Amino acid sequence: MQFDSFLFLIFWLVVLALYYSIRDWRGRKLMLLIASYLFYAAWNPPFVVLLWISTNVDFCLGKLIGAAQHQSRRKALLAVSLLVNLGFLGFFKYADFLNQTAAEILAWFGIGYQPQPLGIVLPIGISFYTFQSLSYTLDVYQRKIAAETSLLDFSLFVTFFPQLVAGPIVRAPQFLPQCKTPRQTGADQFVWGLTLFLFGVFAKAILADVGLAPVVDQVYADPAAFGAADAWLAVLAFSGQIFFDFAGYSLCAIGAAMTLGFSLPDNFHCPYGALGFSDFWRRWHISLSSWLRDYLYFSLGGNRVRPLRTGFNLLLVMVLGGLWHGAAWTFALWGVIHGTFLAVEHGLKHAAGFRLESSAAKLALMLATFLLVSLTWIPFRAQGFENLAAMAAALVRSDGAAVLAQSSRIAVAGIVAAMLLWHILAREIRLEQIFQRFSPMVRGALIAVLTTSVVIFSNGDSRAFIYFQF
Amino acid sequence: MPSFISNSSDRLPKPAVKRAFGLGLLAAVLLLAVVELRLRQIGFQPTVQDSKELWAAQRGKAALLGKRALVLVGDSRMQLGMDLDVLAAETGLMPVQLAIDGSEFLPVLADLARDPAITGKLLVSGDVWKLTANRPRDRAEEWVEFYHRKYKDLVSAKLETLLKSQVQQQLALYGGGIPPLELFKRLTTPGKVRPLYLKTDANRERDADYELVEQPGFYINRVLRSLGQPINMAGIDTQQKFEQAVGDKLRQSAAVQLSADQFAYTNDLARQIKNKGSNLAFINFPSTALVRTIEEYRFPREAGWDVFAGHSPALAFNCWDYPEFDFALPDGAHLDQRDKAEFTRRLVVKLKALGFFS
Repeated sequence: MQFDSFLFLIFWLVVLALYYSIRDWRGRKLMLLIASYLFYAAWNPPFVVLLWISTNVDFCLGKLIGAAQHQSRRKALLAVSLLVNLGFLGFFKYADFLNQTAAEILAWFGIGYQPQPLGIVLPIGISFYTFQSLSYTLDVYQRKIAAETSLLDFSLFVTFFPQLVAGPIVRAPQFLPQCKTPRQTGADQFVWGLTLFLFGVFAKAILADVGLAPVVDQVYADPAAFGAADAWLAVLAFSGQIFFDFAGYSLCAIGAAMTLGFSLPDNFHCPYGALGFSDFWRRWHISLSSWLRDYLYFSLGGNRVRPLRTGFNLLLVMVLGGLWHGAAWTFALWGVIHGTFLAVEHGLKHAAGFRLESSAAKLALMLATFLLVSLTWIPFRAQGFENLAAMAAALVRSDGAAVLAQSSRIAVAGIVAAMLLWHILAREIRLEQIFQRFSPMVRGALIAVLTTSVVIFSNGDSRAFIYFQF
Repeated sequence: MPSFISNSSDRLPKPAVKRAFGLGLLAAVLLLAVVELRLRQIGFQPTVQDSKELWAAQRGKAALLGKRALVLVGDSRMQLGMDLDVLAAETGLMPVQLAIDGSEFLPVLADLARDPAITGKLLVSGDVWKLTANRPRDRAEEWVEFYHRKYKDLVSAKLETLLKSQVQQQLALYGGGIPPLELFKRLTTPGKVRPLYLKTDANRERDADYELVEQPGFYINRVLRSLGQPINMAGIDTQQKFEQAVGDKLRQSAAVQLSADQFAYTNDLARQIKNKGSNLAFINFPSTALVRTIEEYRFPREAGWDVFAGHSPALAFNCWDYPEFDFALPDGAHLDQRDKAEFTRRLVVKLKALGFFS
């Protein structure tokens, strides 16, 4: 069930009512766990088994790793965890992709092999919860945390419904300590949680779905039919759409968790106000980029190795990050481009001790970063390389007609410009700091307008959150 | 720069937002009530938004009902022309509306032919040009795919569709995703903006109230859509001149000669359906005035419908052959809601006489 759905609202109300009517903390956690399983089952009941296996395997392995004295045994146990988690992920997400890729490679050698598509349904959120569960066994293995002794707490950590299907990817040290003592939810925290949820739904349902998605869909469906101006507008529109869609989801998750007294980590912080690519990745999908940094990049030696090797590490991490998003070579290409940008940026900083002083230079770098990031979204959004090439061609077409309606152009330009301005001006400021600068009257008006907009204008064809497919 | 361990919930705005949130929510409720009341004052009625989810819900119902289903396939003529209550009362079957407005509906028929759970009776819209093979792909195909890939096995999608349609049936401000500017215009320009002439129910039955449209503009637009060619309307100020212009334009194109081969795919689908023990009938709906002129010119009976009917393994029923189906069609192509029940009743009588329901 999506956060911007009637079903979720009912589910959430029931959960809140039950949660606050139960006095016993253990009972509350048990109720939340059952609710989380129901939440997941609402998509596809059989896949609950996967979630259960992933949870129980990592819980047992965590205990065994924690108790093991010999490094070789610890390694073997960790390997089992990696095998189970990445095995699930590999089978459900990449089996068809690998099959197809093998066929293409064989075709190069003149060997005809036509595999039947396996027709595997991707369990929703599998990329998120496997990484979350895996981070726990890795943390235990690296002795960052002690093994968890409560299966209930650990199960809740893996399945907690607000962040189960699309993050943020929470780490065990962030969440498990919260399970140890009853959560105290004050009225202020509860209402701020509702406010964040409202912001998130507005960002997703209105800005992403109503304001930007139609233009993106229209242009990407047939790029050859559009001129350069419309194609550029669609590229910028997708930058906005994916931000509002995913940051909106994250805000909903954080807000919903907050109403239950739980804290979830921030996942976005004005990414389009970033000064360069490494800054961008500290601001975009923070829970994934930090996961990749801590468990993959550092394991490869990070930047404590020769510059050339560092560049390679960055490239490899970003390619794997790209493939984490989806089983397609366009995602790998997206990763290659980001990895290359990061490696070049790292090289420049390393060689030239690159520092920016003036505001004008900083602004120029922000805009350049935004533009390049927007262009990298093209392979991310494109449906295959043909579509990607058509889109790239549309960007430089000189004879294309202006097809988009003027109202669509104005809407996209307005939303994207406002987003960019906000990201640039608020790059060092937090949402609550912005909000508290407003007078109570403005706050009330903002909540009224957002609520009204969501109710009136978000009743079209519902669109799944973009990150539900990853 | 925040590290990944910073949490939004560790930091609350000061002063707290409680009062602002409460007032904001109250203002929103009042504002929504004003919008709802104003829309109703103008004449708007609650309507469900037709969508792929709503269609998928009915598609699922068709599979569940099995032999008790009377499945309707086609485009807007089928969706606007059939009264589901009358159909249910007159046939004892459970009607399921799977027609998709403005669509190329053959992918729906193909999907029903493939599904072993579809064993009920089918009524299919018989626009003859849409029964030929290799028609353009459109949302009908997309909706079928959506049903199988993203709806059929998902519990939440089904529950959400049910809830959403129930809410939309209660509130006029949910009137089919009105764009913000359009809504504002409707609320602030009384008399100039008419309520929606289409009303959709949760079961996808659709009523068209042609008293709410502006004539003759609406009819002219429908004719031009059927014609598919632009006409310079400058200087055309009488019906006669318009008919002349349409006739001139029509004569610039040749009539289409359809062959039996072009219906082979549809006939094959019909055979598959009949082989499952189902029965189906193709219904060519009435059309009048210039819309009919265009259709008769483009697809002459002897080279179109008659070719199809002569080779179809299913019942092929043409309303043009019976005077009792000469209803006044306000736009030349669709039935007004006031005639729908009677049209349905007469159609059932005819189909019963032909043994379709036995």
